[in-house]
Amino acid sequence: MNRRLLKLSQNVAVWALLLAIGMFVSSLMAVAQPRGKTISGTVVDDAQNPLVGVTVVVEGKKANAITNVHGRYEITASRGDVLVFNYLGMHPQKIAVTNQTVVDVQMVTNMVGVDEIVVVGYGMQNRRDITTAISSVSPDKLQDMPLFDINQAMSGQAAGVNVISASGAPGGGTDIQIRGLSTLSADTSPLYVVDGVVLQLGSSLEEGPFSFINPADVASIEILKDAAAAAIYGSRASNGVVLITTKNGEKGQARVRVAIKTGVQEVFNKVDLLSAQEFATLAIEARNNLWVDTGHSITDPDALRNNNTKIGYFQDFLDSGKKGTDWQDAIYQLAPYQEYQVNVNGGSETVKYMVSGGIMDQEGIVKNSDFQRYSFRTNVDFKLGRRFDLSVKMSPIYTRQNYLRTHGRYHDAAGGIVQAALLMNPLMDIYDPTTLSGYSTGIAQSNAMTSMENPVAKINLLKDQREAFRFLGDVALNYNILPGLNFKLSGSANVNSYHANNITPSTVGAYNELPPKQNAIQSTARRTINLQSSAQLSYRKQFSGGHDLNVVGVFETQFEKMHEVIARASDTWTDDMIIVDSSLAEDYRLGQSNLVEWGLMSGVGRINYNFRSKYYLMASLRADGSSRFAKKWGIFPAASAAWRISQEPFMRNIRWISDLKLRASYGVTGNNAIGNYQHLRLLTGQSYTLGAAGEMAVNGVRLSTVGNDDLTWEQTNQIDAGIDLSLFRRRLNITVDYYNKKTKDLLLSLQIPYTSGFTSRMSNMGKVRNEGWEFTLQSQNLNGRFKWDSNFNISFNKQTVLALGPTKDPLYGDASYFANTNITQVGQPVGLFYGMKAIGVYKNQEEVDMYPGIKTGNAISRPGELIYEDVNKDGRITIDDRTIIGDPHPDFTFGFTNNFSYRNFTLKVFLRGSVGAEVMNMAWGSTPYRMIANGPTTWLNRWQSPENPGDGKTPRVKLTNRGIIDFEQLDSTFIEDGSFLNIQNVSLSYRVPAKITKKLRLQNLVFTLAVNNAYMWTKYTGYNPEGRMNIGSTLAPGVDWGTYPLSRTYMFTLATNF
Amino acid sequence: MKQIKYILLLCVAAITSCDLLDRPVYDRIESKTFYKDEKDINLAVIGSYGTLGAIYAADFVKYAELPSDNSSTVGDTGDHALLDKFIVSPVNPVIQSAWRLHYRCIANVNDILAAIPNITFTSDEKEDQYKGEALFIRALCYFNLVRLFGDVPYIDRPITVEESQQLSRTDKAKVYADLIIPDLQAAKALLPANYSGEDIGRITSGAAQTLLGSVYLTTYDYENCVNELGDLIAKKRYSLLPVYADIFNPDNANHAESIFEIQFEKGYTGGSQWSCQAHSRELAETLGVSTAAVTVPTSDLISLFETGSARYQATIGKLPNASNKQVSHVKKHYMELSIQNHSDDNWPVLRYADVLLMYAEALNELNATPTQEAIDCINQIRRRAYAVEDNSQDLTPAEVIDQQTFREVIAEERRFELCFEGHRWFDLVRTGKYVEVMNAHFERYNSGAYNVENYNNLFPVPQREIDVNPNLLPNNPGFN
Repeated sequence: MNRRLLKLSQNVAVWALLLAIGMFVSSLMAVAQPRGKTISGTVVDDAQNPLVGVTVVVEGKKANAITNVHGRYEITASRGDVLVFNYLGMHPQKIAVTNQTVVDVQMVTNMVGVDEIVVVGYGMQNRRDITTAISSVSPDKLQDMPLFDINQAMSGQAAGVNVISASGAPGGGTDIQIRGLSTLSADTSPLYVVDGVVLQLGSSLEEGPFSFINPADVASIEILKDAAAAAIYGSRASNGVVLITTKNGEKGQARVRVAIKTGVQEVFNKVDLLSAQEFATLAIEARNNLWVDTGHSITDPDALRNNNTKIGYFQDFLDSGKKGTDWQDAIYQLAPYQEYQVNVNGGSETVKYMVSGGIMDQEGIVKNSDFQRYSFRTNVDFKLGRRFDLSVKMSPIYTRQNYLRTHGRYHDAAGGIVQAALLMNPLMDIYDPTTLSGYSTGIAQSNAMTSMENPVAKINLLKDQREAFRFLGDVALNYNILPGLNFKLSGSANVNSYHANNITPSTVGAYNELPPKQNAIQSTARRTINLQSSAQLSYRKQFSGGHDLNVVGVFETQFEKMHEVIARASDTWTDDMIIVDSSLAEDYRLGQSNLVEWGLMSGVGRINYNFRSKYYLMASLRADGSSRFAKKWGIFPAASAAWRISQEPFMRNIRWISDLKLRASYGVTGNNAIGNYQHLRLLTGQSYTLGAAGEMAVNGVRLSTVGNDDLTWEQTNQIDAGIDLSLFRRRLNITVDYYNKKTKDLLLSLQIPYTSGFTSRMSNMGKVRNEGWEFTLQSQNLNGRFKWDSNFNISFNKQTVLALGPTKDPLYGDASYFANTNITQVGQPVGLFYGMKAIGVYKNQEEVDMYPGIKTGNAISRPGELIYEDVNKDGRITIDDRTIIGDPHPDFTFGFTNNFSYRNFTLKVFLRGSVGAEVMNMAWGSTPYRMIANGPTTWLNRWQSPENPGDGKTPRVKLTNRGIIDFEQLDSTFIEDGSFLNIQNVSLSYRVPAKITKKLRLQNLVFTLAVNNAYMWTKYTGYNPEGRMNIGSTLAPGVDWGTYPLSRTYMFTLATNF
Repeated sequence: MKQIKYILLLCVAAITSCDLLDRPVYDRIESKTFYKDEKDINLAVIGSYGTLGAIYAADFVKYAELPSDNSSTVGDTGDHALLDKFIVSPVNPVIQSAWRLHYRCIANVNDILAAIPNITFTSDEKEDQYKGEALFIRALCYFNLVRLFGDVPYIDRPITVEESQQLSRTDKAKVYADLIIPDLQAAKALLPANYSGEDIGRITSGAAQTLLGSVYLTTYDYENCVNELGDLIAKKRYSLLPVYADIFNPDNANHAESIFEIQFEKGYTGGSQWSCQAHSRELAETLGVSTAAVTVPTSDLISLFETGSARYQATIGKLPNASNKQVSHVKKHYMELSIQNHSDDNWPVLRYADVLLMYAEALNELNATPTQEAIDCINQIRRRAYAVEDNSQDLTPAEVIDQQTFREVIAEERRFELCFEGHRWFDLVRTGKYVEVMNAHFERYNSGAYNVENYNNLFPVPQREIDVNPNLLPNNPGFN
């Protein structure tokens, strides 16, 4: 309780501070209104609410104004002038001044924003002038929903962008794929560019890399999908590029927005596990089956049986009438969530500012895990005289978390918590006062039960505290040399300072390792500093006759240095010390440091040309030099063209077509996301011991990396063709894209023969094609008092491996315990599931005699065992009968967002779905049907006897290893349908009527109730059909080892502007 | 305008001068520029000892003892238990690791042998020594490989990855004849007889000669075996320690009986894991060590062991488990542990008792009736085993009545003397007894639930290797 109070008081303090800063800045920046003969009025939005910050200009003149907090403006104008009203996300309005002195305006929301400004690489463009495939997302639309990271803002919002909720852990766990996987190397995450600063973040389940930005600060997200759009980012753009633009200050009085969110999260779904009674019953059956198989009688008492087949323990439990333990309930909790956001925005002619602060505090649905983010941002734009503009952006963010490694195998001393909760012996109590820790332990259990540590002991005793301080800052000076000619110099720093302390205490055991064991403490300090500098020259000129030319040239460099220091200690005298203290004996302490650098140097050029906004041409070229490769320099060209047919005279009469554009593009991009120094053949230290008493440690060296003189980046060539169609006064907007991208020279850590002296080599090999269609439909279905608009997008991607290495041998991926569970071979998608194909269960001896079976070993085919298909038809079941047993890639994914509003109510419903992907449910992977660990209720449908053959799919339970024990192979009973339809978000908002807010001196006041992951339709029996063992494990996709379950979040938001 | 030019120039200068695209490696060394002088060769040789040590730190016992009737796992149902019970598969990680670690070591040594001719050494002796050490390490690796896998790829120089993908298996007789035996003969000539100071523990000419003898014995070339080992014995460079337990005392490393041992040093990196694994799981708690117990003495071994001997006392220990029941463990390699998985306990690869036993065996094979020389060898071992000076424990006339009886006596002596030192399984295979002995063992203790067949004399080539190089097919008999 004290911890909560402390946290609350901290939060209030920070909040107050932010508010104070906001007030201070706003009072400084109060802007005087222009004087003169005036026209005034009020600008409101669709819902008649005053709009703040609408710019009002007199066309062709200097006079301009901006609406205040009440939506009011005043401007000097004369009769005959035209007033232009502009507001981001709304259609501009033009109104001619006649005799009136009051001009009230209602702005109309811009549905697709044909006229909206789109951020592209090294510049901005009008949406209508875009010749490439770019999707835009405005997180503002989602601002009242639970939004833990910036990837979630993109989820289901853009065709071709698949945001996978791989883990529900606080602080991280989304995997994003743009237009399928075009790489086989470790990293598949896109390149993030924040206000021009390139961040190559990589993806990791553990560190939640998306703490680099507060989603509330983001004004827009653009996703560059085709190569022509992304090629401007060259060697790092093959996975797509996500451009994030933060909010900027706008001229006018200080405007303050405050949002308070509070909510609670719960486990989305529990897995249907056998109850303790059911488990005990099956456990007895499994032991009896083995005993009888080995030629004994089922009626033999325990005294006659060997240790493994004794059944007394289970029978005693059944007789006792005890309930046992629900281990899922034991580790999950209702987890509170709270968030506070303040944003102050305003400015004068010369200085515009945006200052924001936010606090997010999320507890995990697995007990004792949490995540907090304290973020701050200040964006200030200065006008220095007539020709110079200076922009300064700074964003320090501090995050901290109590981390639990919930994923992984239960064997892992510091992880595998979720899997352990699924597998743990349900007959066992949680607590045991006789043990050291006070928790019962499942390690080295008798009765042939598998050895595993109590997951409750793990969540309560393991400590892993992580903190990160990230600073993202950039300064840009723009010099307007001549009209249309600009020179911009910018520099940025991205610093990430990460500290972690963790301890695996002596009281926590692991697989077959009973406590007390030696504890292990680790302290990590890591700083990554990334510096970027850029010089950009741009020129734009509209020539008479309708020629519009825009040229950009950039030279830039980037340098990154990671320095890490790790201290470890082991077997220390206490488990309460979480740092490597100098008082510990030296023999128990160990230190280590790492230092890694990379550099990138680039030249970029681009020409955009259009003729009368009808015919468009774009060509760009980037040259990248990278320290990561043997062949350092690469050239990445791109070209695109578009034809706005709707501008042609012959289309003018077709009134129902508002806009029609055909586009086509081609471009080349690269992927350099492998580690550093991989092209070098390297030696590493390898010590040995010598001397008379054999105790003199001496240093030596051995080979460590095989090196590759030909190593270079992956190269993707992509063609895209698209149509942008806008109908019925832009009430229906359709975008269709076809793409075909071929990636060659795939970077891959290729398994090589051990006889080479090494295990693997980073190589360029193979080709992959991704081909697909994307459809986006946006419509304003009802536009009256009751409004309804919707956004539907659907993406189809087909992946084909076209070539692999010189030998054309398939590549295999491993799902941890099993080897070669995923196969990648020519003509098929990457990472298909590979193993024995179970085609049923032998109902009786006649069926056993009918099929080729397993004749020797523990796994002799008998009634009740799985029938494997004799794939190679050689009359016996062997390892050579492995075949493809599933496909982890979806046939299509879709997102469907509907917004309804009536009077002061707004209802948003967001559905997301994926069809056709299969999942390898490995929670039971090492112990299926053996009843040495708990399992799902589907095992109740097992074969029991020829008369009682069960569902025909589930084999009998038997204590020993299943299937072909000699090979320990994966079989198709692990593969499940992972299709789903998720009500990912539903929210209802109520806007307090203006009458009341006026009295409260608030501009508006909105209450929102939202639910994330409200309901999911799926056949998958695990927690999450999108759960992953390891984000970015490209060659073994779709493997679920029991990842952190999704959470259902109920959230209440209060937001106000004043 | 002018200022901008300067700024631009400054930027470009600043950027290009710092050689952005050629970042230094901080934590490793590029191999192509590494070998410059004698010091570097020495570093690489020591590194090769380290990679050789990695084979013996935890793994060797798993394939040299676990399949035998000496050792078994308790409580483990994984990869170790499968080896113990002869449920052997090409994907067993232990087998995979055996292949990997040996070839890793071979690659390091081949690099050194290729680099040596380009280096100027301070003396010929130094050059000879490094070359001899490298040749010995390579020969030992291949000796292990052919005994474990039969025909294996033969690599005697640095190779490219592409070459490694094309290799096929070489007849093991050719590996013996072209590589193992010539390497050891060369090493014997090149290496010094002994070392001083901090070089103690390195490979000597005596080690090369002993291993050569062992290779001859394994290839049934008894004449050459007798020649080599007889020569070594005659030189009297090594002797049995009076007290059996002293052989394994970590404070007594590189003693008079030791010919070559893998050196381990307690600590985070250089230690042996094996001594922690030489106990049963149920003892883990009471011992205060926690690791997967790999091997415990079988009741088979214990029941036959001469329980009164000092050798037994030093080999098999009993400790109470949690419920105070006495449980057996391998005392030979057990010591007090303070840091998990790491102990000072050296691994004896070659020791003088082994020489005497091999010599006696070769003599017996060469002569139709037991010779006194061979009998004396065994008696030496037995006197030390029972800690007696007199002939009270010597072989009885009945035990040396004929070649076959003596053969069995030598085999049993060998089993007790060298148990848990990585010999028993190879001995069973060499003497062709593995099927008979192991099936009898399983019959006694597991009601015949497991079965050993003729093909079990070899492990299968790891599936993983076949997957990346199908030229290794066909696999060994029984694994196709």
